[in-house]
Amino acid sequence: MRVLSPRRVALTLAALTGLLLATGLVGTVAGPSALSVPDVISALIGDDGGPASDIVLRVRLPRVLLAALVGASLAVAGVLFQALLRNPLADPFVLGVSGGAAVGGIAALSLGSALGWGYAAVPPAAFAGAVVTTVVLYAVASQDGRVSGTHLLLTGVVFNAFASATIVFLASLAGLTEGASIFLWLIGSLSAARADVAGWVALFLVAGLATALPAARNLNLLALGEESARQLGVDVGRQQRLLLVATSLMVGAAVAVAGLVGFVGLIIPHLLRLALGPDHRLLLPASALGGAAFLVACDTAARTLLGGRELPVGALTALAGGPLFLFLLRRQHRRVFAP
Amino acid sequence: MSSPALAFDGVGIGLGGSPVLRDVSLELAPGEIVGLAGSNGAGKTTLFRVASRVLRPDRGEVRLAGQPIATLSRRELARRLAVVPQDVAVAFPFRAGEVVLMGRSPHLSGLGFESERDVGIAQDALAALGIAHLAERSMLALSGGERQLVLVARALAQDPRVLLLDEPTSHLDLRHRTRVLERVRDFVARDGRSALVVSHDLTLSARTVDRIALLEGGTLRACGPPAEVLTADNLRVVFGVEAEILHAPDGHPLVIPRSLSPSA
Amino acid sequence: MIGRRLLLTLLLGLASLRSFAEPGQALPRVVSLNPSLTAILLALDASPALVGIDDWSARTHPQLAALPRVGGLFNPSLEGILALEPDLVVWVPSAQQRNLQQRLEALDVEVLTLDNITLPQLLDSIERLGARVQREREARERVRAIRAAWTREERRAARGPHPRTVLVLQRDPLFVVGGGSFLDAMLRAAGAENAAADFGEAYPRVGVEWLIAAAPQLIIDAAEGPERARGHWSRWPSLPAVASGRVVTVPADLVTLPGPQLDRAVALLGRVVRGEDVGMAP
Repeated sequence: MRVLSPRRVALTLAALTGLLLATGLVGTVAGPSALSVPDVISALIGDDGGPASDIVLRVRLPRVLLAALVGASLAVAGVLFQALLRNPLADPFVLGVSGGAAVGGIAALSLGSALGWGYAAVPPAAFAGAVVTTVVLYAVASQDGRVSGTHLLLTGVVFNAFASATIVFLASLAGLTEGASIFLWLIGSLSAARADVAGWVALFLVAGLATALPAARNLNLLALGEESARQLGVDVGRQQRLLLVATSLMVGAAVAVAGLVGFVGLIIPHLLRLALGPDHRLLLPASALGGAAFLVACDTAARTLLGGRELPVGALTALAGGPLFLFLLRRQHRRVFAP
Repeated sequence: MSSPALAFDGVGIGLGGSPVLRDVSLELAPGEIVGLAGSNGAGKTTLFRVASRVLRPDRGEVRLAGQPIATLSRRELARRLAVVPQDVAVAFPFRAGEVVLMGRSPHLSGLGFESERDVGIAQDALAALGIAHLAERSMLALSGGERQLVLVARALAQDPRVLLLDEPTSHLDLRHRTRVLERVRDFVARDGRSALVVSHDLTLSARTVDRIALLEGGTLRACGPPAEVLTADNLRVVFGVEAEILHAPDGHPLVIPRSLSPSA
Repeated sequence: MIGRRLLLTLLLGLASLRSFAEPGQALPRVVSLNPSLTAILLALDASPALVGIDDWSARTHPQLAALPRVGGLFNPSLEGILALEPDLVVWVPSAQQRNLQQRLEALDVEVLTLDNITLPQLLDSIERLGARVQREREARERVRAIRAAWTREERRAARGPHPRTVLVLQRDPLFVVGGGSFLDAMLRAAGAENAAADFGEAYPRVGVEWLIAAAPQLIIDAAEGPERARGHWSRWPSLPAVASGRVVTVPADLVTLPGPQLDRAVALLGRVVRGEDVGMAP
């Protein structure tokens, strides 16, 4: 009988780490200003304050790092939401956490200039929005400390609609310059990459993984239903609360920094589940690595495809993710209903 | 005298405002199989949920080998008591073998990877139910009956002292039905374990179990050897059915429903 | 009796005489839907004609805060406009507003569409708007002043220097001035070489990597929050403009608003390009 062994986990993760390192390398070497590889290497070794150093160390490297962290956060959050809701079509944005983050961030953007805040106010505001939303959602959707997946989903959908309306309202108040920022934020963009910002995302990603990885086996048990999981010894209520906290932290940080980058949290877990199986002990860490590599690749394309001009990375994840998702859906359909 | 393997002591619970169980007291002795019967909605599944601590009773308590289950940790309870539900909705394409292996979960520790012994137990459970060939099949691709067999195998892999089976044979053909009940007998025969089986097939149940408990009106109307409990009078009250009780040559009762009782 | 009728006729006659004495009729009631057009009306001393403005105009021209507002740049309120009983609505064309134009004209409100992307368009807009609000003289004077300032700067700039320049409209995301707009024309008139001129778009969004590779010798920062400019650009010390301290902030409204103050704007840019002190370096 085929069983998930630590050896298989280690090998798969090593392969995915290799993939991530490869995409990171391409991301450092590729860019619209066509630096030669020797230039890139010497910039990596020593900082001489010249344009090559600026480009490699202060533009490309922070972006690759941030893309990896945001991609990992969104993919892991996607796995966790799919497990919590027992639905492979869930993504980190379906529960309204992203709506709350968006309202926070866009409020800071559109009202902030009137109040004299700079762009620096956006990440904390977005993060606060995400956390507040999770708390409110959980309070509304839970009974006796337990949350039903359906309640959460419905509450989240309603909240997202409310958030969308609020965002449109705030956007209509905004001036021209904020309008561009709001648009970029809504579709997802990594152009604001800074090393210190990346630090926050890393912190919450680590915290999220530290919470989720030990729960991986319990997540497997949850796949057969809450009652089944309880009868196998899982404290379902506590597990749900822990995971909701972990995901809201990760999603909040990622969205606060990069805006609503779509499809990563939906595609990567789905794709990896098809390739590696649904066992969360492998799926969780694999999704972190896969999501990181995917977003690094998309962001590299976003800043390289059009020469000097920049595409928002969310446009590319959607372009890549949309058709990929349809393909996955058809494959799964065939697999499930095949004789 | 050793304490009963499983004891319901005056259990009462209401759901959604209306009472489901009023005062259920039932004891399972070690080495015993008890059949639980009653009409649909009588509270059999609810009783199982109370026993596995999915629901908390309003009154009374449940004890495992003398210990109130409320004092046990969830994992400890899961190590000692396993439930075979009527069915499961599988959200992700886990394979049958993986699901059976999940039964080992309450016994695992550390990083959470199964040992070779765990894998062996799971494989034995699959073989015992004749579904070793389904191990690599996705649960989503199995029929209702095959899923039931997988759930029974999972419970066996869980290696509990007490086994609760909620209509484990409803989708099974005669061969598999017989096989499951044989396995339950084998399970119970192993160093004094016990089982509580819900089945709507009263005749087959009567051949397998040591006692039948009839649940009606939120409480046990009768509990005893099948021949004593399966009377026309009890069947009329519990199921609203006029039935004829015949007896097989070896003494086991045969239940033959004739018609619905005129409403009282 | 006859005396009173005579008096009445005389008064009426005098009244009509008086209106004929003024050139043209009374000032039209004007609603402006764009801050640059509002600025033109103000510069031409035609603000008495303004009866309503858009939100952005109100923000850019706080002295008009008392005027009724009719909505944002892209979603003006038809009802708000009509409530002011305007004779004339002036605006800069945009895709969403086309529908508005049809509806206003169907309700007998005159709509004047004025482009302001290129310099010739802008000068033409000033003249047409001035004619419509009985300020032809002032309009011609304004256009003359702008053309004169422009020529003056071009002549001065011919002697050099011609620094490779980037005019930044917004720092994050990074929007700069590309080729084809009046801002690009202004930069060239002032003698600068626009490093982003190859972008066909008027205001492209570029990556920082492009900026570093373009190595501008002068960065003119017209973004909001000028006090943040130095901190922002010094993150990339390899930029020649940063290394040589040639990052100059200019007030956004003066430079980037396509308005009637282009003579002052081009003169300011000329001084910036030549490295003269403009009192605004961060």
